[in-house]
Amino acid sequence: MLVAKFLRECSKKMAGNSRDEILKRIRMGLYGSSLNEPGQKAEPEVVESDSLSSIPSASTESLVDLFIEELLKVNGNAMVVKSAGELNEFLEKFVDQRSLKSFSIWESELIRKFKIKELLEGRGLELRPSESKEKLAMVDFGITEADFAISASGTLVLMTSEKKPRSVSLVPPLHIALVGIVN
Amino acid sequence: MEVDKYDFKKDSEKALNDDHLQKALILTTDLFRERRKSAIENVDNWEHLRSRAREVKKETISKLDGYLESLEENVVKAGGKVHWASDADEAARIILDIALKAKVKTVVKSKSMATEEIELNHVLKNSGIEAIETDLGEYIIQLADETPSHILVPAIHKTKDDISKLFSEKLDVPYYSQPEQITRVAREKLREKFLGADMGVSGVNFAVAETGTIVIVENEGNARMTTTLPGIHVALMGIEKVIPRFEDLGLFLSILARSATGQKMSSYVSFITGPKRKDDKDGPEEFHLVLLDNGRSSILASEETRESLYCIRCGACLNICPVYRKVGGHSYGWVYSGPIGAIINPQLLGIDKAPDLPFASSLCGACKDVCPVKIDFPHVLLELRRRVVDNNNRKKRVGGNLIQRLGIKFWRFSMQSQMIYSIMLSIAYYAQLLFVSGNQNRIRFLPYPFSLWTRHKDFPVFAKTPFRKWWKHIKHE
Repeated sequence: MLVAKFLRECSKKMAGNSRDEILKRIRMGLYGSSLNEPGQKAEPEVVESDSLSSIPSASTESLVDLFIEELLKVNGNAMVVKSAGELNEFLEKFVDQRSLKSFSIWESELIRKFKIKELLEGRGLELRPSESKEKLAMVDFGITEADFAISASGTLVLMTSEKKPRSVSLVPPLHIALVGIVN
Repeated sequence: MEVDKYDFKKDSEKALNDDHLQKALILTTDLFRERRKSAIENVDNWEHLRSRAREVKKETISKLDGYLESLEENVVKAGGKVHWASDADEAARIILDIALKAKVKTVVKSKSMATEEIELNHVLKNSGIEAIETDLGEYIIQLADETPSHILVPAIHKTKDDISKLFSEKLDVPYYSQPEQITRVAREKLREKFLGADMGVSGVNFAVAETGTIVIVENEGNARMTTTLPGIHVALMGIEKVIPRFEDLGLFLSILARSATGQKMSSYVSFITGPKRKDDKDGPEEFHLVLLDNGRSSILASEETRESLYCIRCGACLNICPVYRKVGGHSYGWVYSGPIGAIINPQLLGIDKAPDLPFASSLCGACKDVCPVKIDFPHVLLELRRRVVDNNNRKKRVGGNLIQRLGIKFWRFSMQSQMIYSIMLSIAYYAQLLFVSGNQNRIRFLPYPFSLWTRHKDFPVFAKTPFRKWWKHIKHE
């Protein structure tokens, strides 16, 4: 027992040493002295923000069109729905055509607003919790929102949290994302 | 980790005689070059972005100690653990200890050159832990028990047929000839592993100091699986991967994807800040970040070669390099290949371990032209060549050096008068006839000491009419 404790202490010490050794080597290399500005915190200078200058400054509509165009290029699919009715219709058709039986879902604003969970459960689909990865692995599709949609590359940006688990868009073989179009 | 000296000359000769490899190299590198070209065509401030990226890297590396400390602070704040590893052995031991402590049986791994550097799979296997590569290319070469030959396309050296055979032998499936079938098999096998693994090991593309966020860029979703499903996530990064601000990511993600694969954005870009939070429903319970030095701090100590650390591992320099395109990745002997391998392998391993690599370049500078952070490869290569020569001189290796010095003395003597020079040229012209057959304009073999040259390069044939005479003649016409 004592030996094990001793070894643990040693390895702890060694870990600490490597940290100091590495920082010392870096400071020697950069400033020629390990004492020069030790522990100095690097404060990033404020810089102009860099972006691709070719980003189109366009209307929301044309940005949506561009997003769909880019998404199709990377084998995604997209459609614009204008009302709750159209959304329901789309989901019902999607589920029926593919005979989907189970789903996993985010509990986020748009999804609650359009009562998507209730709609799917009402059609007899089984809701699988995302806590169990084994169960999630067998689920037919996952449905989330997207916080942003990047037109230039057809990319969705999903920010995860306790009500928005990462696995829902990751593990099931199908992923549906809702993106709000804000004017 | 003890490595023998690598023999670039022997390994590259093997590659040059491999017809399949020759075709595969040109095909793949051409494809990536074209994709990159069309991806940057529509970006009208591409040069500005490259310059900015270089500036940010320069700034970061020049205050690396501070940025690493603030990265550590913010990773810890987010609930992660930070480990520092001076060398490959220490990094492997740290990761092994984490695995042993948690009684891990299976590890899933996403693509990471740093884990190749520390030979992690080997270390885990020796302790009875199964480590599975989950990037398709890496999975293939793991099945074949080989090493990657390209930073991005690790199985560039394998044909479809090779892979079909490999799968049917190792995975107990029929011989599938279609890539889609092969991919499906891999997906099914890997799915099981993702769900069963107790630990995921990933690399890091960028680590943001101000937020403690690590960013992983990939196209198959396997890295996101690796970092989301198992209970423990260990990320290994070279200390140069830190960037100062979250805001810098816009710039770096734009140039990385375009330079690497010609995509506007990679299929999956994951931002990870610490482990699962209290109320989160998924994600790993533990998050460990391992900071690897392994020679990097010594690169930093030289102002001449410091910029080697600016590299973001896009692989554009491999695809453009006339040498890589002929000799392939394995000729470089160690983890990194192409121009970036030629400059960092000798620096990370020690110049005497890879003394041929700084010379494995024509200094054409194409790598510098495509590099998204404008690394001045020719400059670094020349500095490393100087170190190789110094090293040889210190070891007083006469042989080649003595002959070289005598040769240069002789050259100086002949250059001092036009008459001697002309006579020498005539002598050379007639002497060479012994070794030239027919209309050849290259000499492939010369006796010692000239064989020192012809062993690796052809020698151009001396013209019958010297330039001076030929020029006079042309002028009269």
